[in-house]
Amino acid sequence: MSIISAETNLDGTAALRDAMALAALARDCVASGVERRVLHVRLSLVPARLREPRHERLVREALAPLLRPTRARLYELPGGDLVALSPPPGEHLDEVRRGLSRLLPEIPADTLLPVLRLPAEAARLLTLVEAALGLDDIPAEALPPTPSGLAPPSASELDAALRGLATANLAAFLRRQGIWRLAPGDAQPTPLWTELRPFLPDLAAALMPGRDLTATPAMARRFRHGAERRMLAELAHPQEARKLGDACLPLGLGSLLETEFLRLDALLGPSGRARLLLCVPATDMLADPAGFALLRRLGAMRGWQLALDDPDPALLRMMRPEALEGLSFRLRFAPAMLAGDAEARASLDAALPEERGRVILAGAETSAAIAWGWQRGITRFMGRVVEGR
Amino acid sequence: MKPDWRASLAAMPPGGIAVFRPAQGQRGAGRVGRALLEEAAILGGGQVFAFPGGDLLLGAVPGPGQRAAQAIGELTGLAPLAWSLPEGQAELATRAEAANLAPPPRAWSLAALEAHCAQAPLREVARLTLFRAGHGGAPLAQRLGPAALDLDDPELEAMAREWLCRRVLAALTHPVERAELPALRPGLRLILDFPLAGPQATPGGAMRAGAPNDPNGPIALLPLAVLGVPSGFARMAGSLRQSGWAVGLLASDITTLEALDVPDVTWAAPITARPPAVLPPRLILLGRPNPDPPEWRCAPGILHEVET
Repeated sequence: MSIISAETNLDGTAALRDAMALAALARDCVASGVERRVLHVRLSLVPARLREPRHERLVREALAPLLRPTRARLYELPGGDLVALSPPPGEHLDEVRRGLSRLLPEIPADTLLPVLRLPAEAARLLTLVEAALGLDDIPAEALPPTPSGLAPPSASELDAALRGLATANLAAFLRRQGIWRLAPGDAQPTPLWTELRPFLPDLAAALMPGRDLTATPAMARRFRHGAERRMLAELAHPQEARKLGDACLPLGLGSLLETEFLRLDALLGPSGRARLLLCVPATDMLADPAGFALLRRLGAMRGWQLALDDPDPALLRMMRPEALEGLSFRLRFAPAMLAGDAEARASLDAALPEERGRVILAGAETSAAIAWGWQRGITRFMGRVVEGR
Repeated sequence: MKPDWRASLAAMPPGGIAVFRPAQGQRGAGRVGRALLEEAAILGGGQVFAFPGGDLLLGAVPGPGQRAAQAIGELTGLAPLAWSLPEGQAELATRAEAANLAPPPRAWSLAALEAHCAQAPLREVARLTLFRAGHGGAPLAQRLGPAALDLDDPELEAMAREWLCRRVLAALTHPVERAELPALRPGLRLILDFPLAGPQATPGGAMRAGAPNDPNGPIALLPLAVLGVPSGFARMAGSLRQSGWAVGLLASDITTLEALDVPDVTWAAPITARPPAVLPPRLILLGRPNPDPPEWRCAPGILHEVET
């Protein structure tokens, strides 16, 4: 809950925006040499007992000199800390500092209310902004998925499951999720596409109970294509195709170069195709480069957009830039992207396509993902942070 | 039931068009071709007949059919045949008749394919091919790998390759089965096909080929899909080089070489009439086009297939 703004900041994007602006300002001060005093009010350290409404009012009163317009620039970071900036000498910053220290004598002022000088201490300010964004929250190495202990399906079991898929009703197994545009200046995310896909784990469990499909990637891909072709067959009716709208269909290459998709493509017409985004696994491009090249030419002719789904950044680095022309990219945010030294980060950034408008960041489950994306000019997101408001 | 194609052809008004796309190349190209012909049939009035040997469009007006034929040519690199009607009727009828009688491609179930890969005699599923460099001289290298099944579905072909690769590798280290493999020629550099999992998939794990990091050691040929997990590929390539192998990547299409920049690998890809825009320093060209083998196969750094 925000202590300074009357309008409740439910989603945290305002705080995220403030943090990004503050980081930009710190860099500007370094570049221009302009001096600023910075007061960091670490409200996140205020003990719970002082968070009751009565005490909150006292804190708010102590902050009053900062809340008066035109006195200082005030930023609220995710987590609730405040950062106030003022040209030197910044008496009102000292006034606030004195007021709050009296209120919370048990916390040393240098801990609760550090003062920084820009541009000299810009690095410290950037560090604390990154910490507030969760960008310094380097996660422990992800554990490898635990084997389920279940046997993979045999070839004939998979054959039977594929036959079952051909007549299955997928309605209960389809999942929808939005892809949104959220730029640093936006008050609200704007919907771009709705992703539609069959949810494979449930479908596999229903058709092949007691079998683990993930153990054999080639079979998993075969099953995925069977499910996708069934979904496409259901979509390839005039009334369904008309309802599709701005859709993102993540589809395997083997599903796209098949009758069901081509029928949907014909039904959509030029205006429907222009609203379609197709995401093809990067691994499918490697498995069938000729088929992928055909698909790209087809997309250019028919007018839908084509994206590489979940490419490993290291694979993108191996690809010549001209081979990526005209493609979009759906990257999956992994907390591990925040880890690594400057060299690892630079190497990851170098793998991103230069036109950041063509990048979608999926798996945005925390505001750190949005911050990571914004730092790199990415404004298209998918995940819990932008979803469900 | 679909009307008989002969009756439809006889009933075509003058000024119509017939477009025939022979069934060749991969299944995806065929599907795209048929979809475009069907669209032309809807736009211009007409019908599409799907024969085992190819797809035939009979269109009442020429425009949509001509545009579809051109689009198919641009997309797949193989322009369909087109005739004005009634002038082309006789020639078209011959083609359609043959396409109608062509045997349909075998539809493999996974179980049938797996059984075939497990049970077909080794001498049928393992293939030895020889390679040389430049214009003449003796072969320099030999490739031992699974024979292609020439399936129209690249997914199934890749699965078959995996199963067969493991079988050939297992036979290579088996005292009895080894005799069923084609005999390796002494003194020729070995090019050996590996499955996606690399040498881990062989019985007993990594096979030592010679001194570590010898760029002229035998070549371990991995499918291009190993690049899907670049860190895994880097690890695998490192351990192969430690065991004396040179690392090769097998691409099903030579244009891939223009898209990817992978250091220190030997590429292998099917030969084409023209070289790719970017020629890698080390390249193995697969297949022997007859009667016109392209001259560029003799360029430096290239091994090309010769008669066994």
